Amino acid sequence: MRWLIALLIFAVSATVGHFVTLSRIPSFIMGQVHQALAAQGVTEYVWVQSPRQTPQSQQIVRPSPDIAYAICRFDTKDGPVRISAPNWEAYGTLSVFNARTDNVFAQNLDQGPGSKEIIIRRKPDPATPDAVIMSGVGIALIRRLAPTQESYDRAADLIDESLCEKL
Amino acid sequence: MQAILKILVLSVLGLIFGGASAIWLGGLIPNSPRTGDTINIQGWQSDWSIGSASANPYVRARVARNGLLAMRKEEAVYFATVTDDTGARLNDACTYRVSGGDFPAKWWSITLYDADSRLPMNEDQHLSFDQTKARSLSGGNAGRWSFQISQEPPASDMAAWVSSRAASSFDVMLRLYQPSADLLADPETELEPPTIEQLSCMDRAS
Repeated sequence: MRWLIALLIFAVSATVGHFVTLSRIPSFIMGQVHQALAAQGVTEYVWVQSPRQTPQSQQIVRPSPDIAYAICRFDTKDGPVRISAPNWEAYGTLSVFNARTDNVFAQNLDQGPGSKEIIIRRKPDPATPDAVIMSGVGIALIRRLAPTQESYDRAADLIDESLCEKL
Repeated sequence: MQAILKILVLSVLGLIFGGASAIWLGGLIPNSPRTGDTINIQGWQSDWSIGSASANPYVRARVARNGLLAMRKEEAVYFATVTDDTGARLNDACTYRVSGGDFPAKWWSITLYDADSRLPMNEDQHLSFDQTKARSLSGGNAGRWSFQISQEPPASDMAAWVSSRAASSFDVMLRLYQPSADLLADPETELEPPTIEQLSCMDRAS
């Protein structure tokens, strides 16, 4: 009987430890990413264009040499956030990831002239019914197909026309 | 008092065991068991769970570790192979011809990575082959194409070359941007992956 009780205590503890750890892995990894970006000087509410991916410039595993990346960090605890990005002549996306690494928003940028704009809030607001709802820190990411140096340079120039700001 | 101590010890051991097993099954350490949805089409493998909004906590943990900031499958899917058509490991001592046709996607590219999943450390500026080059080589249509993987550039047609210089053992990754709905629904039927034919090999001892 004592052995049975001991086994039960161990099993319950192991189950709790297992699922609590498992549920926290995504947010832990995203936290590490934010820390690493901050250490590299990527401050919040600023779009940062990564250098063209070459053997000499690569900082992540399996970088795509065909894609121009830009990233912006934000935190919804500071209030609503406005994100915008100009459209692109070829394949491109604007996407947003929450603190649990979920891709909470993604939209194509290859839809003619103009730009995409979204508002991100912690709670729904009738004034902005299309807002993306999420809490905590987040990462906005622009990907633009730019397989040549010339197209990469044009994609990089668009960062000045992009917004990532507190409202 | 002794009984409480035993309960505490058992609880702590249980928590440690549970946490460690979560880290293992969540794919945070090498050689963890795969809990996702692996697709294998003639040696080209894809992790179909990357980019999915999965409710499975094991898949979520592994995707966070191995596919962080990955696009949704509707935006891009990835297939990689480490072997040629005969099943031999790809390596930079050999020259290969990669051939295929157009893929059911808006745009595609094939990129070579070394054993550390890095672009090979060379300055040849021939890192990938893509749909734009394929169409340029085939006169603008989406017909059959081929390119060469080798350390040295081919005698002609530099556009149809991906350099394996300094790659050692390597793999090639096919990226399909905005794949068709049919491909997402039934990749084994819809995707005809590229073939990789070994043309020759250098004698490393010479």
